[in-house]
Amino acid sequence: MNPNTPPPSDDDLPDERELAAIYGRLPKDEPDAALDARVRAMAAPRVHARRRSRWPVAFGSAAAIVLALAVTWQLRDARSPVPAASHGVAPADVLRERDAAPASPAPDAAPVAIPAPAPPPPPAPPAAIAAETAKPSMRAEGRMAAKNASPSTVMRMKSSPSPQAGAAASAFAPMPELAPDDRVGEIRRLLGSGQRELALRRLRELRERYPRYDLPQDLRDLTP
Amino acid sequence: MLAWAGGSAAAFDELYARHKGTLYRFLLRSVSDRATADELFQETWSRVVVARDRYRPDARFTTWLLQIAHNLAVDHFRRQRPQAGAEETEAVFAAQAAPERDQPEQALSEFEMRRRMQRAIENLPDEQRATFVLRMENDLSVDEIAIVTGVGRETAKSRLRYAMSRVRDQLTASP
Repeated sequence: MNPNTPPPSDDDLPDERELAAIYGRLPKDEPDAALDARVRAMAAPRVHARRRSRWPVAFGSAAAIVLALAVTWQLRDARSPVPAASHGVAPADVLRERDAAPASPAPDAAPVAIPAPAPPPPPAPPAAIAAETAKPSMRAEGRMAAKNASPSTVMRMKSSPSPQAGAAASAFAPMPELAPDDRVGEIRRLLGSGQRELALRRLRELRERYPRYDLPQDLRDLTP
Repeated sequence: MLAWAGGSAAAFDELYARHKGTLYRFLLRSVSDRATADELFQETWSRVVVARDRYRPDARFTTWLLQIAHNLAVDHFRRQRPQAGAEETEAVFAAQAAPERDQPEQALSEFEMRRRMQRAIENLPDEQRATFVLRMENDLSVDEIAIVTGVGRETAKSRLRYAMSRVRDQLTASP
């Protein structure tokens, strides 16, 4: 206590100034350097620990928020209809398309297994081609056969530029991709129309392509 | 204190530099043993470090700091020896004759005055010694002494009065 300063006024005591003056002459003891260092070291880690502990909490909180937003966004995308989002179609239209989808399968979807294409048979003679093109009933039969054919076959037949050219192509080209029973019907049709040579060639193709197929008796009789 | 509680290391250095001397002398003169004073000094700051988040600025930091130190000193006294009761202390004090009080520092050498003052402080009962040192060293008011020592204002003032009277008696006593 500074002896020149008056004591607190609320509780003045007699002779306090003189005692304070003597007390003030006592040595001003201080903690030594080692004790200072211990106390400062005791407080320092706490300061640093508090500073360090804030960053992981901040980063952790930010990461958690980002993760939550990302998951929410992904779930939202999974719930929303993709066609409507990608093509700008109204949801009602999308639902109508979905309802109609089972009734009309996609054009490129193969409903039945199609046999692997056989190597092309030798081309028909030009005379036979001409004979075939001259028969309008034959084109009708061809359409009947095509009705039972696979979609790819139908596509090829529909792409013909004209009926004549289509008939020529069907005579010149190998036998369309028909099932064995359809081939039998085609052969019988050719026999009925008097085109025996073409019918025999179709029969050979059938036997080459389906060697295990059980031919009807009338066609087995044609086998040379 | 608030700056340090907010995480400023520099604030602690300033706080420590401001209070370490008075705190250390309070403890040294309370326990009269440097090793014990060192121990209590470090323990006081340890308590401050631990409890700094609970510090509220409605009281002076000095008062809070000295309150912690005083409590540690009292605990130390209780561990060291049985504490004399207040009535016993007062009886011993009353039995002493009141000597002449003529300007004690004029009759003794400077060294002798300091030695007698030191001894007088050491001879005070614990409560009076703490009260006297808080008044002389830390310049606390009676109200603040009452807060630090955990007693009423009148008790604190009575202790201070008795302590000052006893110190003066010892300063003027014949060697």
